[in-house]
Amino acid sequence: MSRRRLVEAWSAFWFRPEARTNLAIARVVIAATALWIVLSRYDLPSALLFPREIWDSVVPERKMRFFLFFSVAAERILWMALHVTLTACIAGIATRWAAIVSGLLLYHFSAFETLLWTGNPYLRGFTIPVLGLLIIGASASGGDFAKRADADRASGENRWPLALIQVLFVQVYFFAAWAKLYTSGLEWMHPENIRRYIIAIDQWTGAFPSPVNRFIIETPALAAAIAVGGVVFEASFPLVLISRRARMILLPAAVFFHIANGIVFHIWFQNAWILLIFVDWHGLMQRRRIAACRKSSISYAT
Amino acid sequence: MRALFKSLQWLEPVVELVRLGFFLTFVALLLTHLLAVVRAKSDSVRRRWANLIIAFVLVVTSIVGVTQIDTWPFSNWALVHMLRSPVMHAWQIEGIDASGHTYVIDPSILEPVSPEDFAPSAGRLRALSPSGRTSFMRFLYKRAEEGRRSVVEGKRFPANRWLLGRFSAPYHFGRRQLWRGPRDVPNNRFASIRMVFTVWNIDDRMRRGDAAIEREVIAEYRADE
Repeated sequence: MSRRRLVEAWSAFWFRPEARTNLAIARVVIAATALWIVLSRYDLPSALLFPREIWDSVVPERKMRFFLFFSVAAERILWMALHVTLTACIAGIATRWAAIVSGLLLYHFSAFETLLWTGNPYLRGFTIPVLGLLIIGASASGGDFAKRADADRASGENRWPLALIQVLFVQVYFFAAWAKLYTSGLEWMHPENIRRYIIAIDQWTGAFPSPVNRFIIETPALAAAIAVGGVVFEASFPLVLISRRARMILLPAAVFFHIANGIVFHIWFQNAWILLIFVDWHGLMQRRRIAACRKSSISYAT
Repeated sequence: MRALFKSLQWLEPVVELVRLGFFLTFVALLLTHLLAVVRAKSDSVRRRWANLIIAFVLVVTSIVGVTQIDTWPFSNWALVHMLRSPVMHAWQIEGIDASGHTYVIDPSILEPVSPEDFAPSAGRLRALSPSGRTSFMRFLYKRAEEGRRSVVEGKRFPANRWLLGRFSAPYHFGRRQLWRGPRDVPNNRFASIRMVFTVWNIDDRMRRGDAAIEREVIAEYRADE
């Protein structure tokens, strides 16, 4: 591929005209997801009150990395501030600054759940909101809706922030597949491995073995199909970035994937709501408006 | 490569600061773009900064993803990625009431920290000094008692469900709630609690149930201490 074609392809993907509406809705979805999780983590700063013997194992540089310098009282004020900024972000009040401050506070607080163990607080629901809200806050529109319907002029400046968040989101699936193959190779997809995971997680979480799980455990072909299907789905998810047909198949498949993961493996992906950012909301609204116009012009004619 | 990094323990503080550096660079690039927007710089200037942000994110996330060395928030997204051993290790806290009846304490007493994230801390109990162990267990006793009282008094339990109830965002791994109502806890305070490490073979446990679980009491705390 020539350099010129590469540049054209890059521009076509990252800077093609995009309505502000889609980025604004992404802002609402991401902030609402984050607020839902924040409201479900009671008094997160109280993690600092865990015994010194526990916190002593956390290296000072890790605390520095997440700006853990403040007292519990100050952290509680910041925690309440996060509730306010996320609410403002959802409501479209001082949207840009609400998004930036929310992103920074979420970065700070993400570590509280896991810092006693790891400096990688992923899969707690805050990773995409941290990155997404900061990107939206720094974008040209700040994630605001256009002031008037006819002012929603499509622009590449609305496209690249949304596309970047979508890329970050598809990486969740792609690198989950990569991690399995990188760490364990093809053996990860062996039915015995899936059987062990189902039994182990059932026993560890205290879940009563469900009829579904019992059937999978006793049917090696089904266990293998789940393993292969899961990895193929995760690895192919990036196709939603470039293909409308792939979106129509893979987005509903993702919904099924997460529900099935919850039922079989008791694994819940708090960010599943963020799949909504792949929907062309502006296109949907346009089509509705056109259909409504046609209907009223037909009834006027009759 | 991950194994190599893990073996170089002394490198950990440096790595943490490097990870912070990546995040600050990301934020700096975004703020520079924002400055270009606010100062109404030309399209070409804004696009240059946008391209830089995109390139930075793609390069960093690709390296993190491929090498599986995390640099949160640029994560490696590794989950359930290893070959599952048939041997499970776990921990549980048990409470004993005045009549000697044992209750398994609902690990939700530790919220907002999840049981999964608390596990390594529980693992450190063995290495603590006697006074450290006492302090640790006293903390767990206080938490267990707070949880028990909430359940007995019919208050919302666990703590994370304070506002949204069953519609609260779950932790990544969903666990069965052990304390669902007053029948699951004693009316009076726990006389003592103990931290128990458990290990079992999953197939053996399927056959023999809880009899397959090997237990080791790591630490105990009496309420009168």
